[in-house]
Amino acid sequence: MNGIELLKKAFKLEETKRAPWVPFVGVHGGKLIGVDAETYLKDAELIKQGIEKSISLYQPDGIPIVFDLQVEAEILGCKLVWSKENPPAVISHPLLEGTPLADLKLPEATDGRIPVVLEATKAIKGKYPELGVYGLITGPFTLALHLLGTEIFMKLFEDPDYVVELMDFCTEVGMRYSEMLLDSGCDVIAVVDPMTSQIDPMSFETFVSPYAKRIFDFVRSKDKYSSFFVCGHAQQNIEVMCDCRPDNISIDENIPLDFVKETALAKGISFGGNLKLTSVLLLGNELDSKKEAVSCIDLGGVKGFILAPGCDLPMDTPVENLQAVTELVYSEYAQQATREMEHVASLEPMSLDGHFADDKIVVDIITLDSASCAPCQYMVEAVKQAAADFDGAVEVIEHKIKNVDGIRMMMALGVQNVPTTCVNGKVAFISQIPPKSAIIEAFEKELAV
Amino acid sequence: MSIPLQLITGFLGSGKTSFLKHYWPYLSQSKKVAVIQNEFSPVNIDGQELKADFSCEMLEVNNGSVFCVCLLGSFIDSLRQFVDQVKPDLLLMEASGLSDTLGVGQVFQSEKLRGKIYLDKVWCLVDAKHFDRAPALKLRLEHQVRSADIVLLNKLDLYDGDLNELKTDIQKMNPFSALVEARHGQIEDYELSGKPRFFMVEQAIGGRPDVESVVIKSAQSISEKALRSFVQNLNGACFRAKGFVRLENGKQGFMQAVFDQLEIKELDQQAGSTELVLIGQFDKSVNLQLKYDEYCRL
Repeated sequence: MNGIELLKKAFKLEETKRAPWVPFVGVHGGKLIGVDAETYLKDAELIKQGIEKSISLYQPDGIPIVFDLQVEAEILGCKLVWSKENPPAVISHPLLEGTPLADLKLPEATDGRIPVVLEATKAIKGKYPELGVYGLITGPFTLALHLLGTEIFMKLFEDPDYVVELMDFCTEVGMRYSEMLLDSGCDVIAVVDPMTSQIDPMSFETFVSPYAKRIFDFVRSKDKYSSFFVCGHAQQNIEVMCDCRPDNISIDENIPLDFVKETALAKGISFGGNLKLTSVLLLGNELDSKKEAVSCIDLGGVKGFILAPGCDLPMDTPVENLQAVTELVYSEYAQQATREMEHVASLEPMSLDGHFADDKIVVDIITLDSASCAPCQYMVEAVKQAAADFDGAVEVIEHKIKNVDGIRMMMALGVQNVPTTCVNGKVAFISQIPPKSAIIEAFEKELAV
Repeated sequence: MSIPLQLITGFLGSGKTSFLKHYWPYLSQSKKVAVIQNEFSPVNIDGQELKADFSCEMLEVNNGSVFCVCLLGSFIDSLRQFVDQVKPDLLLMEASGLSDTLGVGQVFQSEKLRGKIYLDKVWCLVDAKHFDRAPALKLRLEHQVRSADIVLLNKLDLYDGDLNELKTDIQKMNPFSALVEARHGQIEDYELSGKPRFFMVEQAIGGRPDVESVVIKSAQSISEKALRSFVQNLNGACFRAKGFVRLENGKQGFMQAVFDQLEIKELDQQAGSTELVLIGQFDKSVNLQLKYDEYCRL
């Protein structure tokens, strides 16, 4: 099934055969093609290349074209500081510096970097019509904060009428930009409003809900889908977010996925998240990433759940970690194998004392269980067949990670994938079943040592 | 030697920069102290102000990490470069007024910073006069206070309310932090105020190589039994640990540990999410965040 169809099923709370996968590739796309964040975000062709690279590496069902919450702010007069590794930061707030709100104009399709975003969107949607293309807009509250600075938190109480007027303007901006994105081929409008995590539900209902709701209604009137992105400690606001009637809400690791699931599904809204960005995807390894992904997939279930990172992927997120998540999304074996490794953290690696011998080659195959896992079965058979030619000089041992000792052996050998074949303790073949000739070659090489 | 980092948090306008202006010269009498500024303000006014006032080595992080953890990645390289170049004995980091307080501590677990920098303590400044000025932000204020080792009640010279009432309010948010009075960002006794408050004798941590801090954040609840075995299975690698924990019964707990001695206090309040800071010399092959997650599921 194609990506957008799978996503639509999730949005409509129909059962999906697997969780749709939407990696939030922002400036990480620049990393993939070797350009810095600033160069990347200013060039439609580079963005197109970065997204194409992400598509081939991560096989997503949906993907945002640009993840940058400063596009609208820049046009409205906020000064930006550019960075090589991050989206730019807003450093000035026109309304705070004396520009009257009435002087701010709604953006046009030719303003600022909007043409860059629209061009990249058209190019990607044209080439990948089955991909769910996400267009991101700055949520009205976050845009208001860009325009007014943190003064807005005081104004909520000291001058609520002004905040209402400002939110109204920011909503108009959001709808105008959404329309441009939809016209360029976006399937989903993501309203990204991280700053709402700072406020309490009552303020949210007063100052955010009516405005966010207008944007979601607008997207629905265009027969497209919407998602409400928030990050940070926003658990208190999940319910009021759902009441704004987006098609989906997307959260980060600060909110328990099961809580969001329960709240969102009760309100008939799909949900997504919340792979840990820093501690796992950025700083962890492939196995960590798989474990994190399987735990999200198991919590999220197959109804209304979209697997995604908690937020914009850091530029330097290791490609292998995201590929490990991709493998897990598409392979039930990988999911099963990862589940078996649930308690690795509390186990000690197996001692390898006496495990190897001078007079023979010891081949260890780490499997889920060759009796029930087809790739494992073929790997074990292939290795055993090749070993048969060596008249007992090669000993083949299968270690099933369905039992604790198998997991401990896997840890001892430093193996991260199943199935993996190690020859005399060295990882030789991972996941793919090697041809017999390659296995024989590996044995001969080891005998020659 | 691993470099301790002290985090200075508090809302915009709570007086973080003026505290730094007093605290830095005090510390600098005996140590080389460098400053990291991570403020979200027009052209980093605070940074310029500090630089004009005294000459300290300063790393400015002007990348708008106001949003969330997603922008922390690029901070790793600049911080590593900075400490390699400056070689400070101590780092003071002024956190952005709106950022996720402890989130920044997660980057110290990256390969490039592990064992080089550890999160030593967290100061939180509270503006006494404006404590109640923005009730919409009360949850965030509570969160910042909860993450603190020392809460500085600042701008008391401008405060005309009932001081005891204010203190009780803050102690309710975090009964385990030290509460210190401050005027114009100045306190009387930095040494005493800055002492970690542990239930057992404080172990000397400074002056060791490879000390690292790990920040564990979790929205999942954990049973007291699982929390105990999590700490015990660190096999003494953890010199100290503390923080608030979301317990299984929906209650909030506060835990502190010195090696595998652990104390958990159940608190009579709604559970927030778990945020723990662990300091020690840990097995580099284990992702402690995921390990904690596993114990939550036990």
